[in-house]
Amino acid sequence: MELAFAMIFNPEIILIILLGTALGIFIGALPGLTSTMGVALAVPLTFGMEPLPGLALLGALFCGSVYGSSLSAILVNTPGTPAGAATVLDGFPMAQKGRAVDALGYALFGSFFGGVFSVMALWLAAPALAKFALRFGPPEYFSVVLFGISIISALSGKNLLKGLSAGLLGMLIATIGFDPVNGYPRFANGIMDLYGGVEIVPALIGLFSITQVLVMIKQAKLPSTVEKLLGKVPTFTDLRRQIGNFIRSSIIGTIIGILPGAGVSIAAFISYNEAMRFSPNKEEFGKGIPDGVVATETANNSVVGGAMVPLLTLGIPGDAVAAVFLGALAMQGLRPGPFLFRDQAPLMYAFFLTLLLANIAFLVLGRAGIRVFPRILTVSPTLLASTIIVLGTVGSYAIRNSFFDVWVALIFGVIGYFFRLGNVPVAPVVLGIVLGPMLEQAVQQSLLLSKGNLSIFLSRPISLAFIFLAVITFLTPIIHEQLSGRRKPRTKVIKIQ
Amino acid sequence: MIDKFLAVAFSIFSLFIILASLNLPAESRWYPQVLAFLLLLLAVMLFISSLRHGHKGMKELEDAENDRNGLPENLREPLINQRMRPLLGFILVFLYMVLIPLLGFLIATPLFILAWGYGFGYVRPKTLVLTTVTVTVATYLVFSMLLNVPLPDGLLVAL
Repeated sequence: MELAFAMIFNPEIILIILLGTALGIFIGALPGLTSTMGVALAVPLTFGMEPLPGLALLGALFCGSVYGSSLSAILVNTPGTPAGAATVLDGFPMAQKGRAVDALGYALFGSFFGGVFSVMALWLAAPALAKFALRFGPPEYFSVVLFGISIISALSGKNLLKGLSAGLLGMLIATIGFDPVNGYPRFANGIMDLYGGVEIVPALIGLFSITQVLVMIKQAKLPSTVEKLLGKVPTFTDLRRQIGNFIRSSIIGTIIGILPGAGVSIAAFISYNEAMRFSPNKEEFGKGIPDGVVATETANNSVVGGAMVPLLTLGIPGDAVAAVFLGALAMQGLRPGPFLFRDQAPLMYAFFLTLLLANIAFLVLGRAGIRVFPRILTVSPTLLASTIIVLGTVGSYAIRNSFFDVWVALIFGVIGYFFRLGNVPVAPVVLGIVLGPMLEQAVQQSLLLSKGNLSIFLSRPISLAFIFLAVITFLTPIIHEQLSGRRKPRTKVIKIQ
Repeated sequence: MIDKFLAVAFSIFSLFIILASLNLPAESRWYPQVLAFLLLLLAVMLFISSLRHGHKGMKELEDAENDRNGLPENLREPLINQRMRPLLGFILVFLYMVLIPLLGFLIATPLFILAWGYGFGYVRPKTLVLTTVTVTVATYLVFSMLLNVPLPDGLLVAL
């Protein structure tokens, strides 16, 4: 523990956290640039770094971007990232009523409270869960990974067929290169660069950044208006009135963050609903009530810490951002999972501290810049697009100093673009690429253990429990879809990836 | 339309995997084969469902994008119509990636950003030049100096 503190309090780390947070706010605030895209673009930067500064940069960027999405949600009625989708509901009406700064302030303090709460929860829950997971053998791993893959169903929305195809495509792409058990090269067709498999970071940069650029330039629109900023920052008394809301929304966000597959925007919507249910002024919701902004912003930032729990303890990324983190950890030679806590405990605790500091950093930056940050929204999308391409290209190249990876990024960018045209979700591809090899390895090792008997997965209680969970996770969205489809005509949901 | 295209692309990919895996040893072969057969099955289902739904997917997306409110950026009359913009973007990115090793990072990057700004009709020359210089120099410094990534010199080597 002392070691973790010693690792944190050096000027380099603090500077990186500040930079990462500021960059995150910038990326989060701009509609079209998502947290996943920002983290994916930053991964190559961490390649040459030590593990802690690298993780600190990505963690700070993630925290900052979730907060940043509230800026555009409140000021221009468009969430900067899906995280802010629910913040629009009351944030924009508040701004229209001349209370823009109030809304920004509530969003800021809510984000801070939620973020800190969830890091604390991570701190308490992760080591215990990791200790439990240390007892897992290959069959348990298989079931846990299967559980991770079943999340694809939740990530697919109403396009289950397309989501599953995307997931399988990802898993197949991951089979290219040496197979994890026998070391036999598959599907490389003599291309040397493919023997080690498709590099995950260029694939992510392609799927999230290049795709986004191709979609962005079709629009080339600036967010409509940045109104004159009226209102005042909420006082301590104002905030004290929200304390129940802060706590309730943090708990909701953290729990939903821990559950794989649900993600930030769902947490924000659920928390918004709950705040409305508990509120005496139900009819005020949607017309610009601070409680609505507090509920959504607190919940979406508390997802950040929650989402780290399954990633760091089981090695299962619950969503696309977590999958990018997994790629970054792997690049550092760290294998996420229970062993991380056993072998790298100080590093893990230091990482938690950096997340805590990132929350403090955006509180300070956000409070100081509450009337300045909205200017981010006037950045030209056209120029931004070319900048993203340059960073993505150099970033893909930098992983192995190889132009092959640059082309990988472009190919994945084109795949992602066609997926967007056809409403195929991209996140399942990433989960497939990341979890596919883990699944294969676990199956092969288990079958070796049981001499080819498949019942090994069902005869061990923990394994059976996770298979059960996987089936439930997989089926719930399908059943839900069937039921709601029968009851009312489908409502159109605009999904921003 | 796009659904049919995706279904066909998925099928071709899974068939390729199935064929290419035939000459692998049995223990390396079964896992990709199982996945590929599943993908093929889903692709066929997708194709069948696309016959029923027609080309709704594309329309929905365009509606969703047009719904988003916003003012057009301060651009001059676009060189090409909106539908072709992603294609122009792809071509520029492709050329940029080809040119980096040939011309070097420090020449290809400013060319790319300027061409991009021109191609998409960006109107403020000062901002464009300023962005070009800042992005090129900052990226070079961070990757080449700070992270020790040897960015290609290209033509600059000859000097």
